[in-house]
Amino acid sequence: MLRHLTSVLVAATLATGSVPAQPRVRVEQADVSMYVIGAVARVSARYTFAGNPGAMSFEYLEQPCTIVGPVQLESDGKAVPYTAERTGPWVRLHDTSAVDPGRTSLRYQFRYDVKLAATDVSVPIVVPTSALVGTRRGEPIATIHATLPPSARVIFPRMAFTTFTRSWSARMAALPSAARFAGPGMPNEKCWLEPKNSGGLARIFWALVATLALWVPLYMWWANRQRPAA
Amino acid sequence: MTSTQVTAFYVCVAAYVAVVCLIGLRHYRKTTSEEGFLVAGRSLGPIVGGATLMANQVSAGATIGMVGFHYFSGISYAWTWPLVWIGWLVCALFVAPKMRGLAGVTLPDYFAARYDSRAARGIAAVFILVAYTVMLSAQYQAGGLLFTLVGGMSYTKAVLLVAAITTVYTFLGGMYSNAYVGVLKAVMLLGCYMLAVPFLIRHIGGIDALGNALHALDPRLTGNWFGVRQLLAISLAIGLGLACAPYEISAIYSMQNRQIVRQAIGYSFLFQSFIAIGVLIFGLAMRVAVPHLPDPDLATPMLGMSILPAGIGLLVLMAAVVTFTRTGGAILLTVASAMSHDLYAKLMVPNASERAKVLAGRIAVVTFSVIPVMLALRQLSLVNWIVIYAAKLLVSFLFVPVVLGLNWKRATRAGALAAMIGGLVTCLVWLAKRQPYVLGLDAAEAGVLVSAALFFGVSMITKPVAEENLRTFFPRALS
Repeated sequence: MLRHLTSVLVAATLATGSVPAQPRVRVEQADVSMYVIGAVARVSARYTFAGNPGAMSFEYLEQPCTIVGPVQLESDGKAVPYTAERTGPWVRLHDTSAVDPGRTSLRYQFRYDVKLAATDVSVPIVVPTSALVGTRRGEPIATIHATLPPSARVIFPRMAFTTFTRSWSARMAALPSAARFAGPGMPNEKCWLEPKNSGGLARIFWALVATLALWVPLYMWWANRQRPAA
Repeated sequence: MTSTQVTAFYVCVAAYVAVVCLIGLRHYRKTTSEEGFLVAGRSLGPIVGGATLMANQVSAGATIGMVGFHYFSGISYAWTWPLVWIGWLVCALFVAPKMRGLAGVTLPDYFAARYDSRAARGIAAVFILVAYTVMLSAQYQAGGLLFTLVGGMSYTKAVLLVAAITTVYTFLGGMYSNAYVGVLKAVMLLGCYMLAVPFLIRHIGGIDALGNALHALDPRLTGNWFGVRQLLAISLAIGLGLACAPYEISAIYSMQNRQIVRQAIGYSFLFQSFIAIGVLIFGLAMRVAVPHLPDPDLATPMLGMSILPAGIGLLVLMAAVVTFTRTGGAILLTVASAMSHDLYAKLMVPNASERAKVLAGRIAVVTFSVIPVMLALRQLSLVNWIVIYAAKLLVSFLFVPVVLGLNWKRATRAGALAAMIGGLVTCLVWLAKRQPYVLGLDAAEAGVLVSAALFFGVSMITKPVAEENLRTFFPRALS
């Protein structure tokens, strides 16, 4: 009975199809390095994919107070042609080179500079548009390194400072869309990215908050009016 | 996480185990009677009671599974909170006062008293054993996943550790432990959301910037990924299921009186409001901050391990640990009470002493903690889906004979049995069809409709229940 019940539950779960299948790609190496010198962050991202993942796409999230310079894309030391497509604050980069059906692994290296214009600023990271998976669920598969000016620090994601190398690093189960830094040695201008189309998220969010906030006192008022009973 | 942070996590887990054991030991001497062990001597006040109701409802399905849901589907799923609360209103209006008036120990006590039926008690107890064992496996699975990710422990050991924590404090303090660990859970969840949500919103650049990034990823994230039809179906299953959920009924039995029960439901709403906003922001912010997680259920563990500052991250991880062990404790106590109180003490050995009943309860706690471990090791689907489908079966089985039976005195024993079995079979058939909305109905809706039709139809043609059984539930009509 129990076995039947669980198999029915699983079957029904799969049947709904409500969980979108995130495209996945097996990764052997995913390293992101950042060197922040003055008002510029020099970023290098290396990805080695196992097997033949086909035509790859990448993306980065545009951040306020930053200007991402030309992105150089190489594969095995050769420049790779790509097209860039903007969707809201996301910029998608599509590898347009011909797919070699016989390849058994694929390496990419991105290099780009990011001009920084604030003391508290997020540096975009070019990440694959597919989820990266290792051999085990939730296994750390990506490494991030950051070398910052003295007294500057990483706010996001959580990274550990190594005194010996005077750099910050973290191993993570997935790559963040940006790394945020704060501290002296960076310029301090006020700037922000003008939201173009938020899809009414703020309106829906505050409507939800108002619904929850109203519900509680209204219910308590009713509950306290009820006649006490033993 | 660095080795220092992993060590800090295990130190906090050890401290948590020590605290819950102390809570259990402190109340151990109060649990020498069955009433003390299973319903905390009916001593809970409104705030502790509210925390208990909330802590039963907000399971790993919410703190891990719902965050994953918001991660892949956006904001629309958040409307299930106020919709589910309609179920709590049904409970406050039509269920809780009469249930508290009965002063039973388990939900099957109601079936025995209302319908004068040992068969109804037995069937309800067996169903609770099966369905809640599956639900308990979801808590173990979520816990196993978290410990595996954070501590690098093997999944099997992690599931065993979670099962051990859950079992120990439930074994020691029964409902007392569950109530006060529920308060701890409320404090930890509120603390972690109050600290983490402002950090995440600031990092993303505010709600508008969050909406901008999400809308560009997929417009449905800021709109209706789940349509009104789906939200109503899920909320109906969970909300109406809560109105008759065995562990919530046990919590209601544990409160001082009917007025306290109503107030406790209000405090539960208050706690849940904060949790709803926290869970929502966690999911949405993670979709922008880490847009390509291999598994949505990883959103909460990754927030705690890699994204938030170490202190807040540790609080998020510990809140998750408290969540699935506490909800696991409530489910385990419900399963154990169905075994020890309903099957053992009421059906098999009616003359059992109080001491024997408490001992049977403790043995059942240990025994029924082991079975879900085996299920959890099979790693079923997303945690929240397990909870949703178990809820659909529960509402199809219990809602009509409990909620309508409490408010329609013509309902009969045969009607209740037909409603329970018919509702359950219908829901299973709908689920087995493997496609949503067969004949335009969700599985839970079909189950409840068939259950109601059988309940009314069979009751009208069978012999009414004796008035002495109805007096507790319809005192005015029969005075």
